[in-house]
Amino acid sequence: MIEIKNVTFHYSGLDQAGLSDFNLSVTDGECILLCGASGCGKTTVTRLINGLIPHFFKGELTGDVCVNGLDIKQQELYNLAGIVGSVFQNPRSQFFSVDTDGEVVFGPENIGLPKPEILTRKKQVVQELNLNDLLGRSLFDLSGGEKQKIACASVAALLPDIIILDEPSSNLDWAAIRDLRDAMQLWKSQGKTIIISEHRLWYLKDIIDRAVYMEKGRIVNEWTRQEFSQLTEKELKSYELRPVTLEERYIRQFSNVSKSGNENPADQRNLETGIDGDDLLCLTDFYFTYTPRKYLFVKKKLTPEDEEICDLRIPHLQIEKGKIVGVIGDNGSGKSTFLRCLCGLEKTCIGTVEVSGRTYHGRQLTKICYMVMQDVNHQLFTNSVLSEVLLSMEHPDEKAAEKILESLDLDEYKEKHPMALSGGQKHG
Amino acid sequence: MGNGYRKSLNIRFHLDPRTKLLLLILFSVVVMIDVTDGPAYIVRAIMTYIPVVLVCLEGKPHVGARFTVLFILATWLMEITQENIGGIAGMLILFLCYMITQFAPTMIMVWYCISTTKISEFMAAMNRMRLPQGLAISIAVMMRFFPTLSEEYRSIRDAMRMRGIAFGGGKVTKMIEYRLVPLLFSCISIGDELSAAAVTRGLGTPVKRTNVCEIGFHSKDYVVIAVTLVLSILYIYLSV
Amino acid sequence: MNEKKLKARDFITIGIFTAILWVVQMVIMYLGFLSPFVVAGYAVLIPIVTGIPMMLYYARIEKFGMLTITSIIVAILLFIFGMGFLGAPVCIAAGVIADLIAKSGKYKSWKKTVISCGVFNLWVSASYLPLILTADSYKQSLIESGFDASFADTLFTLVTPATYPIIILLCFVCGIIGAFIGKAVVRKNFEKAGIV
Repeated sequence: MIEIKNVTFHYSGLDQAGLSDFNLSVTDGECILLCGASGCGKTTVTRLINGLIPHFFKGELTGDVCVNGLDIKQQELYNLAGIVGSVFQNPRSQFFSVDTDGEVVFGPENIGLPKPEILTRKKQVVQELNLNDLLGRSLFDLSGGEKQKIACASVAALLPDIIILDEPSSNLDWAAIRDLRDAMQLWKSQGKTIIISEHRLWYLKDIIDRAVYMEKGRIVNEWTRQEFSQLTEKELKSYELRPVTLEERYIRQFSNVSKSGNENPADQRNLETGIDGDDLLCLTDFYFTYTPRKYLFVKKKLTPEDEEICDLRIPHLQIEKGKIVGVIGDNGSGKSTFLRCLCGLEKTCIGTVEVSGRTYHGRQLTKICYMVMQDVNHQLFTNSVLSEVLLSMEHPDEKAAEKILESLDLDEYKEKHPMALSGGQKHG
Repeated sequence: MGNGYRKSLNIRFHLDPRTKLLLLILFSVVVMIDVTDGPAYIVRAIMTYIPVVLVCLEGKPHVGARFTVLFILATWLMEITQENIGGIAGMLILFLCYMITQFAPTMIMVWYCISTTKISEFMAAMNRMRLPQGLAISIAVMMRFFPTLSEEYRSIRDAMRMRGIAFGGGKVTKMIEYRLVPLLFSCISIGDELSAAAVTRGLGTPVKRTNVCEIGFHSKDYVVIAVTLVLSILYIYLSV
Repeated sequence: MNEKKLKARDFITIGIFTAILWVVQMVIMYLGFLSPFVVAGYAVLIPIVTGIPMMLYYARIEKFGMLTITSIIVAILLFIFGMGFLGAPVCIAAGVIADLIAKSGKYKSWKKTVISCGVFNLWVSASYLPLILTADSYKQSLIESGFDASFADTLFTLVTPATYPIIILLCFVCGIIGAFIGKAVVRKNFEKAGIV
């Protein structure tokens, strides 16, 4: 039983939106979806319930939050550990151990349960979530989806009544999302209360009991499961929500493509298009592996002969100049690896790119390519948007830089700090 | 450090964390006293190979081999330089080799200890030695954070290369700033997320923490300790 | 609830910043392998470069003990890397005093923070201690391993018992300079982004 009454909250020191006069009550065993645009306060609500507000994130809090009869404000965070479990957005940063076994038992160890009890719980959780293959491995080796599974297991081992998920699918592909959905279904069948804040809606439509739509820290609308799955595309769009069904359709389509054999149909087509050589980028010999043969001093360059150990195998690919090409595939299918090699970031890849008669390889590729990476925070080096743009120009010219910003609708932010912008704006 | 760390959780030759700690202490004593020839030097050279053997037993002979070659190369280069190359250049080479032969054994020992110890084992060992839990948490986070740091640093370096600012336009201050500032940004956000995840799973509960993993001294611990102890005492005896 | 006591979150912060501090100083230490003159320059380089993470760290310190624990961990690491029994106590003492100074300013006063940062950086001077106290035998072993006597002399004119007070002073002053530089960088980058 969760009761949030007349809560108003502001993060101290940030103008980041909090909540204003927020009310929500959740009965035991209910599954609630919190949705809405970024910055609408979804995450803040989850933090109220797991106690991170006010104990971890400081700010002004008025109103009452009551979980299972406990007043959150009066409780220490560790008292809540056995009641509310939380799975967070970023799978990379939420594990404490370096090995999977240690991570699963981390919670129960902290609250000092007796050893046999912990081992029983571990066994049960491992069985329920199908984790046998993941035991005994280094967490640094796992994919995002596998890490998220371990995070779920670690939370479940504390046997909480309430489980909170804060955008858990952000870094996952559809297979991993399906596993996540299975885990949620299991928890639901065990009678746990689930609160999930999420952008992706399609995988949740059969699980949730109620969907809460938020805007600027308030609840604007509420739907039951039935109403929610019947929302039309148009209605969803007016709420700026992602489609409830559309994504699933695409996923079916593409999963069929990948099942149709190893040959990439797009590749074949390009080879046949007889377009004039000048308008093509020719990519040859892109081979790369993350697990090279053990070496003493120098990593050996990879050649087509090493094919069987390679994670990336693209002997030949042609791309039309000036076209936007999407590279799609499951997590771990080699999309990023391909792009990294294409940009010349992997030294052992011998791939070459031919553009209008000139051949580029290795380091030269970094000069003709640019990659916008997933984690934007690593790519910004200065303290204002304008100087960020100036930095990457060969001949710094403020006029030209301002023009670029204008074309990207960023000119009003030019003196702001890049890190203060939202995720989408940072990518600019 | 990062790369070796990531692949290395297949621990085959299991030593107790406390044994590793003792080895580290003995090694630090040996590093403190420096000797360049005589019987003590031979003892020292033998001791240098203790971590190498341990690393090989963990199934990473290529790391051990790389170290051996580096060590022999440095020693050999030192001899050559002593006889043939004089002046400042010779001195600089000599200094580099000297530092390698001095510090490399400790470095590989530290690398071995960190990369083969699970966080839970470490916490259990700290608990057994009755050290305060806070200190244990801090050091555990540190151990977990080294590979993260190297991961983060690598992606920053890649981003810098893409932007063509790897050398900060030739300015040393810029070179440092462009590396350190984004690194700190991601460390802060990872740190916050890590803390949130840890406290919601009960870290810091004021009860005695349970440790599921088994630690304890076995015969191999005694063998390793005995060998290192005897060599250390011999070394100290010979060099003083 | 006892707000003065360190909590799990504080211990994690300690771990993270100590890791950063140590990695930065290791990088500079590796540079020292290239030339003995860099070794002499540790007293300047380490305090100034670590000023940036230190100032971010200070911004997150609210309770007594965090700096002390950091200095204890650094002392353990120094010990492992052969700086021995002499360096470790100095390092811990510097940490405790720095912590007390910052505490007297309630971890908010900028003046106290600067001085505390200067004192904290005295741990760098601790790493010179074995070099100085064993200077003669060290010099001897350098010469034995093939260094010119003149070269060894030049090296030891920079680091001798006589210059040690200067090194201590240098650590302190550079710690303060590092604090100012660090604060400037923090203000320029992190405050604007709303992180501190």
